[in-house]
Amino acid sequence: MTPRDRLMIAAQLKEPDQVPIAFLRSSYDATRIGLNVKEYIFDYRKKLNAQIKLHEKFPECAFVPSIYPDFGIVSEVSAFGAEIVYYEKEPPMNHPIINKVEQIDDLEVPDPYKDGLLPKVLEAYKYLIENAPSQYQVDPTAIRGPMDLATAIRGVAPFLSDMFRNPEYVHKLMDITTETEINFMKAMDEVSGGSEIIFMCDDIPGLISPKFFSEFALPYMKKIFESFNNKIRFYHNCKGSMHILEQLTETGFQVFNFSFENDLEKTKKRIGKKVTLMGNVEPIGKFRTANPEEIEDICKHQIDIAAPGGAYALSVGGAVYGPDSSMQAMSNAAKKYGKYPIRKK
Amino acid sequence: MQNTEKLISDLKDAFVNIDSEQVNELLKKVLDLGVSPKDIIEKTVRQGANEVGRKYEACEYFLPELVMSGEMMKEVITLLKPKMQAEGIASNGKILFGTVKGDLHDVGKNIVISMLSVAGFDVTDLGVDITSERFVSEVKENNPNILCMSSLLTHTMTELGVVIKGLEKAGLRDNVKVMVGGRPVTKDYADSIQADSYGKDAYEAVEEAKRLTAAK
Repeated sequence: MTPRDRLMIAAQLKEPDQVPIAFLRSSYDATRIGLNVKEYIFDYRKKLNAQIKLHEKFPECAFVPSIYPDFGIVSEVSAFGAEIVYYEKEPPMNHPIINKVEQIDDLEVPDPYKDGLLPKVLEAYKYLIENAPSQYQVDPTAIRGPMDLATAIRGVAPFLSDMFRNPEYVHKLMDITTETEINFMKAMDEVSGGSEIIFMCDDIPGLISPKFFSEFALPYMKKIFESFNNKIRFYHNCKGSMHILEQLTETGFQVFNFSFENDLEKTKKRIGKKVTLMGNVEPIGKFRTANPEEIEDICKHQIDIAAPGGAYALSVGGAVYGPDSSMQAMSNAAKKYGKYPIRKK
Repeated sequence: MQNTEKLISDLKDAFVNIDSEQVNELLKKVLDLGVSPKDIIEKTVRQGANEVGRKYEACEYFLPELVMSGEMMKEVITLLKPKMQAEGIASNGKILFGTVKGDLHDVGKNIVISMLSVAGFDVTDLGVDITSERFVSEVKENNPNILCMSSLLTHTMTELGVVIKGLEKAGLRDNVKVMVGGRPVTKDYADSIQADSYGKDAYEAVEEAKRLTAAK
């Protein structure tokens, strides 16, 4: 059974042969092998090689997405005309596009075949499908959630205060970003003939109240996941989400990669029968600094809590920031302590 | 008198309830009654901000409420500033604030600026993506009591130290206290780059600013 097979079985709320390990992909794949991030983004051959190297180094781990056209999280916002800032060692970022809320009236849903970096993503996706060795799955890029994209366009603080001052414009912008993501995903399906997964990242819902989540986020996230209900649906949110857990599951994802700030036991108890949990070892502190024995202990604890009954993948609560030794320790822990059947303790 | 106290209490409640329209309306009434800007800030804005902070800690409020509260504070301070100057109310000190080069984050910075303003500091927001040269020249030109810098990314944190070195090189380091903060920044890191102070959050930043200006 491949690591990907394990993950897909767990995604169906079942028990594979052992607890899957699944890491989030990001442009840190480039820095892991000393590549300049901008070079990695625009040189498709280097991108493919960097991602393959990580698969080769950790053959027991699944990656979400697997091989994929990584352009950081700026592809969609670039299609609205945003200025993109590239870094040597970090994923790119963008400046907000609009200063006044009324400018939302002038925004149009971009064309994924023409606007910003989106055609480049499609081109890279095609290259990867044609050139990746057959043993590797090629996935579409992670799409930015509708609220995350809305804040990229408007700026985080103005968007959040618009929830009080200009709620009608929040809805207007969310309509635009939702349609943008659906069209982008459909365009990627045109290239691939239909992908196995959709992977959406949206941290902003973790920052807002249950009331605002229900009003401004839920309907839009739901619309995106419903549009692709024939795929395995992954959702990532690296902000704490204990206050909206049940509401989040109403959006329709199947696998939840969630923050280390969430209490794993409570998260499992509250939503673990409805969705597969993928998480949530603390990615910045412990995962970066603890020795392999400590990491194994942490992982054992996580397995004890969340693995019984299946529907669980061992992962970090965010993008991979830790050293290779920590990733290897996680892999070792899954082999040592994660063989099914696993009894509840 | 009773009416004035009721209005002040309502204004504080409007602040806590994040009702910006009500805040504007009540503020006009309170000013018409001749309440001093100092009392308005102390009894409504500052107490209201503390209550908003308490609700945030208790997970009753979330980031939008904090951001709106910061914006309302800023609006009130902007409105009251000319009156405060006319009445000769002294500032607690001059602060320059910016996010370092390569970093575009400003949500936390804006909240801290609002809190510092409410605490009586005269704060100039330099914005985001500020080069070390700009920080140094702004310090030279404006002679602030404190330079506050934030960094939200691990790779931009090093810029904080670059600015401090720049101040040393320009012979300005002894003229200004430097406070640093931001998500990846820790007290240890602040010490390692020889910053004078570190603010974990907006409340700590205010306390530190008071400490630094009292010490000066």
